[in-house]
Amino acid sequence: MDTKSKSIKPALAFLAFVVGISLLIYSGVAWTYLSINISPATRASVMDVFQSDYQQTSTFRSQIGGNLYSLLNYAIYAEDGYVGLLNEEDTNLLYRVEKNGQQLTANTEAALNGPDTLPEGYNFLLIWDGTKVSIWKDGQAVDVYGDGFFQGVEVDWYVPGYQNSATPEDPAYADLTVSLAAAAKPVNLSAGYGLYEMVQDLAENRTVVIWLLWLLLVPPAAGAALLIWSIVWHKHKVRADQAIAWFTGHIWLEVKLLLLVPLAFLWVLAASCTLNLFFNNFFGDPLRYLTVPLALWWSYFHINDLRYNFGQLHTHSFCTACARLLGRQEMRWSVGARMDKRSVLQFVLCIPFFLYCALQLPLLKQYFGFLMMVLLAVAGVGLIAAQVWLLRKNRQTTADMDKLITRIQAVGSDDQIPLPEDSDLRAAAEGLDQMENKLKAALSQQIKSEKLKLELITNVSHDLKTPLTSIISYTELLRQEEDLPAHAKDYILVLYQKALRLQTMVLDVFDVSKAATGNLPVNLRPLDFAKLLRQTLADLDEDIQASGLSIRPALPEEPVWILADGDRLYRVFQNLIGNALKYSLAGSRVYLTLITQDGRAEATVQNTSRDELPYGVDFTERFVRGDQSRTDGGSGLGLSIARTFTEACNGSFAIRTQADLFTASVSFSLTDARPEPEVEA
Amino acid sequence: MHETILVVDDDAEIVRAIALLLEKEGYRVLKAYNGLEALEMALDPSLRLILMDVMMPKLDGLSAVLKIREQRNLPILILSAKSEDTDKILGLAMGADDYISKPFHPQELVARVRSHLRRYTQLGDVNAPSQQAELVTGRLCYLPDQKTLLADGAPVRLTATELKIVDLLMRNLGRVFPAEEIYRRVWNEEPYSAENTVMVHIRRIREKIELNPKEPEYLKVVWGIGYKIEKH
Repeated sequence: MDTKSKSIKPALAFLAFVVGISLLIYSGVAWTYLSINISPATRASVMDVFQSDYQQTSTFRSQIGGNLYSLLNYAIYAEDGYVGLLNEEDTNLLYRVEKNGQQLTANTEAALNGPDTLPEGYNFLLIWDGTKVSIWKDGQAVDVYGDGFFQGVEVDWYVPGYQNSATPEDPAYADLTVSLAAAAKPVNLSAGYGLYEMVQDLAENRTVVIWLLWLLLVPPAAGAALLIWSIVWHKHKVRADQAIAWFTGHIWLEVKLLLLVPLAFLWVLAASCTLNLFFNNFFGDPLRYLTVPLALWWSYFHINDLRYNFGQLHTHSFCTACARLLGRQEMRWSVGARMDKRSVLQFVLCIPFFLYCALQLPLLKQYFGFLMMVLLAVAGVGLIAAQVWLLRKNRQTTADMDKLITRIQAVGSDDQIPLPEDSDLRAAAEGLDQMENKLKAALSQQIKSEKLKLELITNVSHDLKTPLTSIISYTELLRQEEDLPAHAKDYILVLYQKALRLQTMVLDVFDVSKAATGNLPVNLRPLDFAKLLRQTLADLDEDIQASGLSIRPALPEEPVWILADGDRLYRVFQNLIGNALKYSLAGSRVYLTLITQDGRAEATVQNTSRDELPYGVDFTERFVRGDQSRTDGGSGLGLSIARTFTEACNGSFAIRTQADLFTASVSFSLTDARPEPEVEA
Repeated sequence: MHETILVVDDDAEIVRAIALLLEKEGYRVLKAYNGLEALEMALDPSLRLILMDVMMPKLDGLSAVLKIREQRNLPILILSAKSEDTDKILGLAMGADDYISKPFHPQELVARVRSHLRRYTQLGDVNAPSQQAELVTGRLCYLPDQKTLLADGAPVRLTATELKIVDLLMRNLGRVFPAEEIYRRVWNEEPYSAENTVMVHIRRIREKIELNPKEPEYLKVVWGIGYKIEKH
């Protein structure tokens, strides 16, 4: 996974969350509104568009009923100039009107007095026989009146003859016989609005309704899908929340509180337009509904901020920012200047109160007021004078305090500014002088003794090495003599070996003493601890092979960077592994492990001792060994050197023994430093 | 050979021992027991090399080296019981050519004397400008064209692998190579147990080129980083 998609995921998850919730809320409101407020007529006309047969629709039912009433009214009021007659050219709808058996009008030759008389292409017949309506559809009689009561055009036929008639019934209807026949599939006649146009309208309405349904179904589905997506990506959404909280965390608390005021207005607006919609059925300006998501998501930011930044809310406020700025400004001044400025501020802050008192004076009663004014003016002037005097007095002390602080900072150096005799801080300055003198004395004592130690080491080193040089040289000369008897050659070999051992010991002693007195020069460089251990093992390979022991290294492949002196650290492990080879039980294994943990790298050498380990002995003390005989080749300084060298490189060294298990561990803190890259010549 | 060597030390026994060791090798030895005597004897025209102790009465070794350097251009080896790095640097800065700390190993002393004399008498001045194709560091001289390594002017017998390692390190004097890189470049393979393999060869090369393989001067391990040939 690349970093780019990582960074875009939280944004996507959050966007999905916002859009999903918004869509769900909108659809919820829309559906609730529709289910509460939709009229039965609208519902019926919506249902109509899904009827494949137009004769099953409520539109057709009311249309045909309307046609019947038109013909009935025509028959009655024709003489009065009634013009509501049907279009006779529209042969999708055939009609015949008779009054007392006499034909008044018709647009067909067909008799239309029973389902059998329907011409070809017509499947619907309605006959008003003066008292009730009979309808045949596809040759089948249709139950027109149901329980005999008219419920509404949505369910019932809009025709005369109900017990509660749809329209006031004219008694003259009783003389009339009206027949209406509708085409099964109306054709286009271009003769004004007729059944064909009605069917076309239904088809058109269907497209509109389907579009509307899409609009009502797709948003909630999309919203739900997006919400589920954001739930699946909850981890990323939380990161987005955190990022937003990080951002809002930088806004001052005061600004956030101010922002709550417009938010409250937004909520009122959102609530009012929603309530108006539901209870007053008042839609109003669509833009007003934008306040709903705006208020919602504005609140979300506030809650999100509270959730993640609750603890630090007060730290990011204008007041704390001001206080911090002031504090930072103060840090640039000396302590004295700080105290001076604070007392001036204290004085200035009192002035408004004084001014307020002065302004109140003229309001007092005349004589008494004048007296009070004079008294207050005198007291005020006196107070100001006293304040100024105190300020000046304190300024002297604060200046002395600055001098004293400068002196404390400069302890150890010789140039000292004396404080005046009458200063408030005289005693403190004297105490400081005494402390300083003692410190100087102790310091020079320490330097002297360090110098002595170093000189001693150097001198003893010289005095021991010179005779040792002679011993080694003459032993070598003796070794080159050829005419000596065999036993003498044997003695010389012993002399030679012991001289070499003495040499190692002398060098070891000086290394340890130098390290102990802090005079061991170390060159700390970044190095790979694991590599150093591998190199050491490779370097000691011959000794390891000769010892008959096996080494079990567990070293990490990747570099373990520490700061140390490579030559010194090599000596440490040379000694530790050398010791392990020397003192381990024959045929046993020596374990060398390096682990990194908590920013430290710890190398351990573990071996099983050949001899019983004495209890309660500090093995890193000089000349201490596991056995007390002191006859083997070591100087007894190996562990001591290992410890002092490790500590000289800022590492820590520890020895643990448990039964026969001997563990030496050397640990260093890891470093970010790397060796400087070298360029190839 | 019969080259003349001046040995200066306030410890008469040491002077005698060194003299004996060197005479066995066929050198003529002059002896001095303080700096002033050394100054006088240094005028001997047949003198080829000086071994000088540092801490001596009347005139200390370093001052004597400084004085002799004004008149003679010959190898001066310092002998000292001080083995601090700072002392070595000081000695070399005063004009000494080498520094041997006491107690020294007699055979190493002889080897060093031989090495310096060889370079001084056979190769001429060490500081003379070398040919372009030569890579020189102290006693070592590498001829990249002939793939030959010379120590004190004498060719060193190296195996093919050893030569490849020497070639890499001599061409990049002073540069530190991790074992893995040496392995990759010399064996042309992915490193396997690189540290051990490389170390074995390093040890063998050391035995051929170093005067004291236990305390190498040229082919060095940089602990925790890699290997290099020191620039002298």
